[in-house]
Amino acid sequence: MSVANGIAAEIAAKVAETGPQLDSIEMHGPPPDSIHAGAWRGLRFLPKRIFQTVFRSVPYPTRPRLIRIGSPNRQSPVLVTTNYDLTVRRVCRALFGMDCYLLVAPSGGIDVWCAAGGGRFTVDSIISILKTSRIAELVDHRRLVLPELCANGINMFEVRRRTGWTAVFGPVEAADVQEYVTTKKRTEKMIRVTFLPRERLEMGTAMWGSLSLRYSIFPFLAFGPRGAAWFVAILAAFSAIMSLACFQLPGKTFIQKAAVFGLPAMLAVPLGQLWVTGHLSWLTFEIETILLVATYFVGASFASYSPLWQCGYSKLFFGYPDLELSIVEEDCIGCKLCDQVCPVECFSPTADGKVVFSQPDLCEGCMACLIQCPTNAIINEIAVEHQRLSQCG
Amino acid sequence: MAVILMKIFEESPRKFDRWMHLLTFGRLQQIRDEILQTVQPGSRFLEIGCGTGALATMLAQRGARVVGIDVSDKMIETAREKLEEAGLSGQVEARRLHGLQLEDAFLAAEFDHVLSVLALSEMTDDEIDCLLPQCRKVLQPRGKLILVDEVIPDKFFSRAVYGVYRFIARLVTYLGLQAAEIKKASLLTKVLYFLIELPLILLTFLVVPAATHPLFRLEQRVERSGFRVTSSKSYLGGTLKLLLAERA
Repeated sequence: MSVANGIAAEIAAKVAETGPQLDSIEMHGPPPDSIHAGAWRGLRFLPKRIFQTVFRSVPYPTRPRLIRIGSPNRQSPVLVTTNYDLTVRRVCRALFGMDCYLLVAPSGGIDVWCAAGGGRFTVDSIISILKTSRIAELVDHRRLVLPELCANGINMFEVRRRTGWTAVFGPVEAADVQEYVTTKKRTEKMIRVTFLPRERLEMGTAMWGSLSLRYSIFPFLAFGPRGAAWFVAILAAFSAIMSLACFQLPGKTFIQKAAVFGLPAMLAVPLGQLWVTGHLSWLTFEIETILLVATYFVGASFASYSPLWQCGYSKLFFGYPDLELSIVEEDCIGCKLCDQVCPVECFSPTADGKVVFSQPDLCEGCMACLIQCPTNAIINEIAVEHQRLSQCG
Repeated sequence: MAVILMKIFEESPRKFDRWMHLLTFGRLQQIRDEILQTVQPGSRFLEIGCGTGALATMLAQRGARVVGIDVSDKMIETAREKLEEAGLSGQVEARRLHGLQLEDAFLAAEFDHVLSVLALSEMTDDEIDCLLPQCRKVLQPRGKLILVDEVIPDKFFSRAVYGVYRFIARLVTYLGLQAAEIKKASLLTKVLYFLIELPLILLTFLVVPAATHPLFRLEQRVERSGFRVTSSKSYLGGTLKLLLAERA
């Protein structure tokens, strides 16, 4: 028997031993519906994109799988993300030009932050994708780069203990991954969340879609289809104003901020109509009511769609109180992991090499620090259950 | 039979077994009895997805040594408590382990029987195809694989009826799980929640895949992973299957 035959027999024996090969490796480079597919072919996916933009709060699963980006070798980095279709598409696009493996872990079609916070993206998801993708046979190292925003659900030490793979947290944004992989350093910019105008507008659209879907029934019941149409239109305008001007508007709470543009609008409508037609009509009353309701909803909801402020919604329906974190000084070993996983900037180092919870006002209660702390030095004064802080997942 | 409804009751492990009994119209016990007949004292069982350890306890009472694994912390905790109460902690080991880590956690040929009741339907197709070869690995030669699970019926008519039934069961489950999330809220908040959330909940329901899915062509998949199917029995109009296979 020749050497080649021997190798073939060996492979055949191995396949027989390990069972059928999975077709989980199915993609090279960005997915077919990314911008690189060309404008016309991309149009096919337009309905999906509109759905994902307007109904951002609705999951959109894609198949958990292994994606090869570029032409990875046995030393290439292994990145992990969740199986929300939009996330996968954006991560692939951001990684374009790199050579690496991307593991799309099962998480119920929810994005990284929400899935990890809501208990859908767990160490079990990582085990599942590690095993089904057979990534261990493809690379020599045992190192996973997790997105930083899964720190609120996935304990890096637990990943190590249960899978044998070392997990490290990468940057928040997929766009920074290339820089992170080449420099192997996480800069301050990489580890904090941003809320740029483009992102704000995106979340404003998501809020508009979600609020319209939820509440349009009430103006419809009260004033008929015309009322519902006015409601959706006013919500669109208010969402746009709120998302673009959320930092500039005066006011402590978001309801106050919403009132800054909502109340003048309520004043302007009857005055304007009086000026033009000389009398008020039933429509004025309709629009006044709708303006009032829309102002309240936009103000009450906006924080839930931001990466910077605590979700007001979870307090309302689920009765979760604000977190009151504190650090037990004796237990703190000064590893600064809490600061490294904090999406805002709550922690600061002290002179004696430890960490203090210096900016509690910024805390949005994601609990990443609480979950990651290796010595459990961070405690929550209000003993809420560890899991499910906000209505994530 | 709609296994999916069991997702609601997983939140309260203590009541879980009674509900499972009702959901399967008592057939589960019948199947368990059938499995118990194959037990010989001293044989080694691995149960994947042991839940609260009801079947593992019965197996142990017949003299088998059982290792039960489950991914749910809550279930394993309850199983341990129950085993302690029954005085079977020596014979049954309940472990929190992901099913796909069998090959890492156990030696080759460590078990005479690998058993799984209503656990495969909670996995994706890729996961099942990854799990079955691992089951083969930890089984000794001529060891037995015993699978009980929800399957898609073979006959066209029952398939259609079952599809409708399952859709309704899925919806009930989904709403039930949503209700469980706001268990602590007051009645008024609950009503308000469902009133305003219903459109979003229904949209999500239509988009996300079901938490469990009935298996399709189970026999072929098992054979493809290196087993020989020795017997297969259907229950509840062909929607629940007991499959015995031997390591080929």
